[in-house]
Amino acid sequence: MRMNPFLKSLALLLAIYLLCPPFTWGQTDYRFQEDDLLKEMDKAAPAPPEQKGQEKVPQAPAKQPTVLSKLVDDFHGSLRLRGVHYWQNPPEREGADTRNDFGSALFKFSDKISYKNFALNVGGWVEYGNEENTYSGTSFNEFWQDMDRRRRILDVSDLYLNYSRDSFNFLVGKKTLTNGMSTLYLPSDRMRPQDLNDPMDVKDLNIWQARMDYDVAEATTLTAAFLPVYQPQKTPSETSRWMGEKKQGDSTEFDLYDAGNANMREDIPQGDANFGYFARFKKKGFHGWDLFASFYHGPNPFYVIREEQVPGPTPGSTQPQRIKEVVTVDDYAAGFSTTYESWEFHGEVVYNFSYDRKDDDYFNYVGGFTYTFDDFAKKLWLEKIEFTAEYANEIITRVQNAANFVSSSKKSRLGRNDILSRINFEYNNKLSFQFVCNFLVDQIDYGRFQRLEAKYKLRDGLISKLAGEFFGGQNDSTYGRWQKNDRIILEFEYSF
Amino acid sequence: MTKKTIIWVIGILFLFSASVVSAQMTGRQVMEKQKERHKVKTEIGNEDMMLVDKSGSKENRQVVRYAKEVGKDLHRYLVVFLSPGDIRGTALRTWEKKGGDNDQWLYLPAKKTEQRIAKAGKKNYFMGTDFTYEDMEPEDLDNFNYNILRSEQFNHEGKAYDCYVIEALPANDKKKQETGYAKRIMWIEKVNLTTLKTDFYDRREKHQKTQLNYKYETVSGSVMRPKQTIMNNLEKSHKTVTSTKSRQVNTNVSDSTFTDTFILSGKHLE
Repeated sequence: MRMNPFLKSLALLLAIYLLCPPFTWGQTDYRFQEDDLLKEMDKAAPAPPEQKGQEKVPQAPAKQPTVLSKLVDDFHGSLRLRGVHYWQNPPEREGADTRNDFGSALFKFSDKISYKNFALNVGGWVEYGNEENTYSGTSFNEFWQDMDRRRRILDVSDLYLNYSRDSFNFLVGKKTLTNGMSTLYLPSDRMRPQDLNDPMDVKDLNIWQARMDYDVAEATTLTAAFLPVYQPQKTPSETSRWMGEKKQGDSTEFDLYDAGNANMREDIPQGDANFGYFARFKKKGFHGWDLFASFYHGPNPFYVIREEQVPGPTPGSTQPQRIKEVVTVDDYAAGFSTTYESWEFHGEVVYNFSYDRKDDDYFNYVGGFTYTFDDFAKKLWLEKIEFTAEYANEIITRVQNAANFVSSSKKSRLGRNDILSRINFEYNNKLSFQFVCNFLVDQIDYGRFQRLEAKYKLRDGLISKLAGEFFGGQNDSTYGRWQKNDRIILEFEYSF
Repeated sequence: MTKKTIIWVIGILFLFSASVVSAQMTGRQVMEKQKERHKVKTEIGNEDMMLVDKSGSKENRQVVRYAKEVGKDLHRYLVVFLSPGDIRGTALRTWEKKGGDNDQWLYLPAKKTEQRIAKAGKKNYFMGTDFTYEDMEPEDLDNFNYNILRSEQFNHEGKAYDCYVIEALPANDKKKQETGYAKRIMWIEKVNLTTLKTDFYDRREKHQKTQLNYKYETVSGSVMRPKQTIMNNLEKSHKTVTSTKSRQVNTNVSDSTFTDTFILSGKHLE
């Protein structure tokens, strides 16, 4: 018998509650003498090198740092060990990976070298785990455009040169390009391809760019970027439990996770069609408001389907061939964030215009708030409770209507009549809880997702996380597809 | 003594006491003088920070603080955590605003975006320290009434200091609503006008925490700063100790240091 997700959440919360007291409340009360603490601070490490661009205060001459010592000082990273257990067997699917226990190790790194106003940054990861058809290759294959569906074992996701002056920052290389001011769902954050092999534990793939951020006035920034390489999202393998149930003969509608009918190939843009152009105006702290407006022209992050007749198995016959195609769009976006008393309000809207009607034209919007409980939290012996809720939807102004195009990106798009919420309970700087609850309220797609997480800081830089994730809804909805993927996750991450 | 003589004596005493009162400063004047004496155009401080909880476990952090006066009594602040690794890059930006609520933004590296912070959130402790977001904002003297409670000798670091004991109370209903404190009591040393100790009382007037400042040193002209501070949170049995490793005042700090571009481009970690 399946246990109700809510009861599972409560059971998990109880388990965490019982687990945590030894760490938090059961220890002896040792009161430090202030003098001892001050002496301990006196013994602290010597002062770091002075900040760039500042006058030096006269002091004993310091040893000049070498390139190597700078590289060592600026080398930072983290090691994450992660174990996942699924309660149920995966959905029925040809060739499905039927195991329920998975583990992975992820090492992230970053480093940089600076000279005057230039800084060369590099960052990436090394990861491996026992998930089938998930890991392969390194950044050295397909250096500019990663066409492999699988996650790279070694990836250099950040590689960029920064040239900065007081009024501008010029960047060339590979880095994340974020957009938007919303909190949980950002409709305008579309230049951010991700690795969705585990859709609940995504990684930014980052994009090649030449970008200028120019401060035209106080807190007013103009951004212009040229994005020369389209980077497609990565999706789970056909045998992954994230692809949902698919019995023989099933005909499902195409979406981000399902190719629908077989005989599908991808058509990734080449040459000029790869190019994207981005511009943004951003003003912060304008009478208590943060505002932005942006424009993007380039490849759409969501596929559409084109159908062609190709020669069939017998002479003279033809058969349909479906092609996942990336079409060119214009995205016009605007958004805000402001605060009033205990509330933070935010909203965003993006208008997607598709050339030659190869995809739908639509508005996608989100509105929401964050409410911070303080006095009430104290009554519950908590330091902070923060509640965020958002509603997202879209309005299609013109449906797809182009010859041979048979399916729009509609089913792949997020934020279509969705409620998203998150509540953070912070007990202290070591222990916190988070509950995430998302609903797709559309009657057809009705789906839901809940995540309950406890985070405990074991020591400086070492974090442990215990989380439960629960999915429900109709088989072909985003979350309903994963209804057999309820799972418990345990993570340890050490950062340095 | 004749009746006339008594009236004369009383009259002289009255005039004398009145002249003494007029020579004394009010609480507001002490605070204004303190602000004037110790204010700087810009300031950058590299600090070690240690958090000590009631079980005795300690967490060490490295912090850089930037401050700049951009208009008359109008400041911008930036606090950046350099270590430990799990919070490296976290940054809090504050823009002081006259006649309005200050703007505050928090940058969390994992999110790669900055989030505006609501006013009520300012009563909350910042990143597990014993300083609230409110404590990290500049003190607007117009928002408080300052009363000198008494003058007394205060023993601190093995010396007795002659101090004003000043009570700070929220001056208006708006401030009363948004502040986490019913009052603060400060021990301000009379010669250099440095704050040696501050007691914070929560909204129920319960003594919540005490900040002690140690090893004041001259950083520029008449400007003094403590090298070390301890915020002792009595409510949580938790302490935050800070020790300044280096400090520069009145140096060239660009306005762009206090923008989101500075943080999003990673310059706050250079």
